[in-house]
Amino acid sequence: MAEPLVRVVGLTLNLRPIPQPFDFQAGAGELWMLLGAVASGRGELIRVIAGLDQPQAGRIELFGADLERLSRRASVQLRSRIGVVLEQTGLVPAWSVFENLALLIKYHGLAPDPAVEDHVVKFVEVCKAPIAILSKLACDLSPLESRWVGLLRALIIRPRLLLVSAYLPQETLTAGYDVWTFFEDIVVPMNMTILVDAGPQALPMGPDTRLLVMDQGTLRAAGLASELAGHPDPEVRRYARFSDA
Amino acid sequence: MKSIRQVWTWARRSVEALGRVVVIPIDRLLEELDFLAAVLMSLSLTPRGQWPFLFRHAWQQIYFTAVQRAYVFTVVGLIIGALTAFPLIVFGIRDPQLLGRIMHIMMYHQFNPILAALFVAGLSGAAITAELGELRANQAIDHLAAMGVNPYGFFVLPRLMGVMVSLLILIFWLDAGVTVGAAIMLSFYQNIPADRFFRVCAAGLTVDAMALTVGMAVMQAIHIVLIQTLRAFRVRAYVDIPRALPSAFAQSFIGCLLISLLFSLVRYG
Repeated sequence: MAEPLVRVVGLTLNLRPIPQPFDFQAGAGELWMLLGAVASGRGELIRVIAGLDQPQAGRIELFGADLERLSRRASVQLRSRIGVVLEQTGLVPAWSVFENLALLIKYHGLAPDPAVEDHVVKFVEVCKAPIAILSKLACDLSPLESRWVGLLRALIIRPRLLLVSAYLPQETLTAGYDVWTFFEDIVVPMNMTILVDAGPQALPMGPDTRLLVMDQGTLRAAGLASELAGHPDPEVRRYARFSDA
Repeated sequence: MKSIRQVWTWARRSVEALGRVVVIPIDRLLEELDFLAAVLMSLSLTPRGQWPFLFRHAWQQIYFTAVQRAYVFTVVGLIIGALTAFPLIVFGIRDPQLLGRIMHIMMYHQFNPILAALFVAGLSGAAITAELGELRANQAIDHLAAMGVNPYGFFVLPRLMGVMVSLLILIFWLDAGVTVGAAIMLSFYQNIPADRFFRVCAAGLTVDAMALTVGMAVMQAIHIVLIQTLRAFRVRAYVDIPRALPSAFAQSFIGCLLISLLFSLVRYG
């Protein structure tokens, strides 16, 4: 198994009724899909790992560092390597798409100031998004465009960990270029760990897809879809249905 | 027996209500100080690359609050100056020294800072609450915080710096407008030469008095921004924004009045 990038130990989510504690770890370059019913704790787990909510108990380690023991400055540095996409688009509406995309690069000093524009334009080109979108104001974007710009903003910093807690649209901003091809072409080569809470319909599921099935705020099962397809729990088996195609 | 119990319940509830009246303002003050501490601590966490952001956004706040409102403040200052002069004319006050003192005590150190704070809380403060409230509702602040951007340093600190500078500029601008407005009316009705009136007004501006007024304005600016951003940070959904706006305005303005009262007690008490 690859070196764990995300490790949660004895984690109890802040839900009612108080759920059972659970452990989980994800290695570098692994893509995990979070599955479960509504209010099963998927979104809560993403928010806790993103540092937006506090758990009731337990330990979270990111990149080998215990979050509770980190200084504030170290925590900021650590979070500069995390990309996050939540339910809402999270763009600054009064800013242009370029300003939204350039913000984190400038803030974390990921490129020298004169090179930021080039950096953003090249990234948008690589992602096969139309360059004209950069000059649009975020408040003028369509829901599909907003969703994609939100994802691009999370990816442009080349994060080592990507947390997605939102429905990813099947289509991209380029006709005939679907979301799965985008992930194969752009995201997978970045070798980042990805936790997606987007429902089974967001990304195609195959036998090698890693699944994290949650129920009532705790982990019910975790593993490859092919392994979970033979799980004794019928609820887990239900989520682990995949197509061999 | 039943009536004794009712009286006892009534008395207990009254004491509880009285306690709440005392505790709630203290609780809010502590909450505000806690928020201020978080904002000031964010200064130490600000990476070097973010300083240009900080100054750019602070300048934008100054431009929005002070520069764009300069025209409004000139007109308001002139009108208030004229209105201030009328009672003095009616009372037949002709002594320039006394007129200068009245201008200082009433206008420069009390009424003008309160009026400027009222404008800033109503215009810029409301804009801050609405803007940050929207960023809370659409999870922009959550996104950026999760990706390593300190929300206090990035969203609150530049506004705090900008509003502090803006309030000082606006008070100065208002003082100038009020002096000119009053001078025009006094020279017209009382035949007091405008240059003599200006000299009397300027002569009374001591360093101590100005330092106290500057301190008061800085505290008012801090209070306005903290209350408005604190309310904005509590927003959970878009529907909370219109609810947050009037209460943030009322709370920040009442706080400004209390700060003025406190400084007046120090100055004259």
